[in-house]
Amino acid sequence: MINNKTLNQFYHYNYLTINGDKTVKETMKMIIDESKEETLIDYLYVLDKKSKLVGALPLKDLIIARKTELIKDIMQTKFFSLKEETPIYEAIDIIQKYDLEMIPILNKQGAIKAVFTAESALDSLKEETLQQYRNIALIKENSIDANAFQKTFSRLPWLLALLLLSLLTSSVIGSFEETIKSVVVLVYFQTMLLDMAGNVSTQSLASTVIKIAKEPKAPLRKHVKKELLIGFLNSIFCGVFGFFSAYIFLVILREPSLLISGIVAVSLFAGLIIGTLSGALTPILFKKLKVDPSVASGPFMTTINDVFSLIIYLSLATALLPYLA
Amino acid sequence: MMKDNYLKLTKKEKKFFLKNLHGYDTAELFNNLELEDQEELFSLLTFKNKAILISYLSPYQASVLLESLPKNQAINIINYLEPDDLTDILKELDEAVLKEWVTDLDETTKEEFQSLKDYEEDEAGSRMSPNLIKLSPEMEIKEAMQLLIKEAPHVETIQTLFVVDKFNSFLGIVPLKKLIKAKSPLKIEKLYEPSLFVFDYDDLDEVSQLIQEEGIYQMPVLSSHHQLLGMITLDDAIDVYEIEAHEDVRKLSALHEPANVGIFKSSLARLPWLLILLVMTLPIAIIMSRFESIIALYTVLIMFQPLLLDVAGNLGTQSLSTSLIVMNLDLDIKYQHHFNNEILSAALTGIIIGIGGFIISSLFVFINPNLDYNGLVFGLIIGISLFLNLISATLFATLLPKFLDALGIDPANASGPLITTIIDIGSIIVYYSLALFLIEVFL
Repeated sequence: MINNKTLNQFYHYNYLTINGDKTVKETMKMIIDESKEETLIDYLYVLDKKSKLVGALPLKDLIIARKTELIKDIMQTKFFSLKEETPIYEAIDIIQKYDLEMIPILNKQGAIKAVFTAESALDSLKEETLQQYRNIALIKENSIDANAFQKTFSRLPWLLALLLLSLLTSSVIGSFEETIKSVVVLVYFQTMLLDMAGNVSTQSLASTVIKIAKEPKAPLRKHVKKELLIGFLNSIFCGVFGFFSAYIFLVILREPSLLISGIVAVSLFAGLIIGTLSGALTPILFKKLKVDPSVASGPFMTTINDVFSLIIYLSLATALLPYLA
Repeated sequence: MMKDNYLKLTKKEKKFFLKNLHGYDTAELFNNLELEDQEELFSLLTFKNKAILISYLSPYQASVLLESLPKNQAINIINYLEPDDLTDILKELDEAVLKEWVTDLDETTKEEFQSLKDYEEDEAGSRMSPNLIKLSPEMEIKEAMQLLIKEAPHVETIQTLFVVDKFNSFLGIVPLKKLIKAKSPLKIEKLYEPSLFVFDYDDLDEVSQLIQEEGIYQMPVLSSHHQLLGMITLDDAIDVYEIEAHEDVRKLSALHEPANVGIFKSSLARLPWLLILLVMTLPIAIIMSRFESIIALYTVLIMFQPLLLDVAGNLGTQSLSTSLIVMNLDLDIKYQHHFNNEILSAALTGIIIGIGGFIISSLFVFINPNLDYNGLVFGLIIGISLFLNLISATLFATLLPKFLDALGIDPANASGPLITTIIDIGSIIVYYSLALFLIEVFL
């Protein structure tokens, strides 16, 4: 993520520092003489004798002030500042929350090193957004304008991983072969079950990634709980809806079975909860392990969803087999 | 943290503390307090600070708070609000209350509200601030400076001054720095420079995009007759940009809900798409029932079905998101070029994954003692299906957003879940048809 980029690539050095003991008139003259085309003068920075930043003065205040007033009497002694090690998302956040146009970056001694501007914030926000999008879209950086070969080779490893992981799913189905052979209709609902689990996974993955990006330090326990409750509600709805859909479908096939519809409904319910959990927890897990979640999340979530949903679905059917056949 | 410290203070200390607190922080504190303490906090603020606090609350919250106040107090606060905040909040009010209040507003506020209220949320006009400093070309720079000093306290920013003729037609801008550095005697007409501008009914997302690309801190907003109506500032653009970006990300995941709403609202917002997707999987069941004969005979086909669908779905989602980025984020990449790249990449991926799938599934059948099938034939079915489906998945994923766009539907509605479901339908048909054919030929 952009977090590992440092602020210093967005440094601006064209700002003006002034002396608190000078008058407004003297300072105005200084600005007129020293500012160039690219100088940022919306805020002027007041230094003490040891070059420590002691105040900030909006140009607006300087213009309104009486000519004989001293800078130290009109400057703001409380002002926002960043440290050199401030993460970029925090810098963007401060600019955005407090509607600032520029903000000084201080070193450990409190001397001003550079400034960060709203314009840089907007530019880096664009970049950060793109990265966030990649994390949710499960694509890697630079794959957008890459050529076909680069694209292929960045996607291939994870597709192969998914291919191998899918064998787990195949084994699960294989171990229920007897059940499937005796009640073939069961397999018609397999895709519905797996797709729906995947869909809710995608939703709660996105919701979690956005949460982490917006409030990197917020405790996630509450968020996971909320996602789980949302997932629970939607699982009930989809389970009920799935029951009727399955029943109508079976009627059309001339094999109406309340029991099979029931099994589909219960499995949908369980599968959606599994999907919600895997979606909400995957980005948190990868964040803890410090793994780039952008491409790894997909195969990981899909396999978990497929394996557990199918185990539930087919076990349930096997247990009720005597009543089905 | 701030809350605990705040609650320990005496009333007098609280008042002093609040006086120096930034509006954003005041709103954060306010939201964390119990109702009783909220009321106290609010009573300790000056009218101006009350207005600032209110502008940092959500428009809905703000309108509820205002409605709970005595009318004259509410009006007093409203008169302090920035016009764009004011408009957002007043729009939330009950029709009857709104009518009653508007008549009591002071003249300028009323005018500002009337001029902003008809803009839709996604139009530039809804976000513009009509408070700006206007200069005329005949002005001497000394006069302009005097006007500036007089007006500065009432406007959001003085970085840019706007030049209009006597009919309020927009001529250009004077950056403040240029004005300060100019030597008298000089008239504004010699000083001003042309500037980019937008129209009040322009799309807000495009405006914020333009502000970002050009790095313009104050963007003039004009009427269709080129009259200067207001400006949109860079910090508005940041807000718009962030909201828009999060919206796109959500849509990609079929997540149509605003941030930070309650559990029931979130659940209801997600449900429609889930139910649509559920219905869309029914055709898959219908198609599969057509192939009952071979499915019942060769259950090994079922075992490999998730493998096939998962791999195709994964590639489809990646290809779709890349396509949406290319379409939405103006990366100067031609779509045709992107499309060719994607298809070529899919063919390459298809060959490699197809061969990989062939080897893996053949081995899986051979090694597995419970599976009494011809591994090579089933490996072949899986391998060829993987190849065909990866290509068709990419075709769907690159064409669907363009197709929606052509229909006038926001292409961002083509979410990962939607594309996966569509790809599944296609894949199932290919898979079982191919299986039927190859089984007939070989077995």
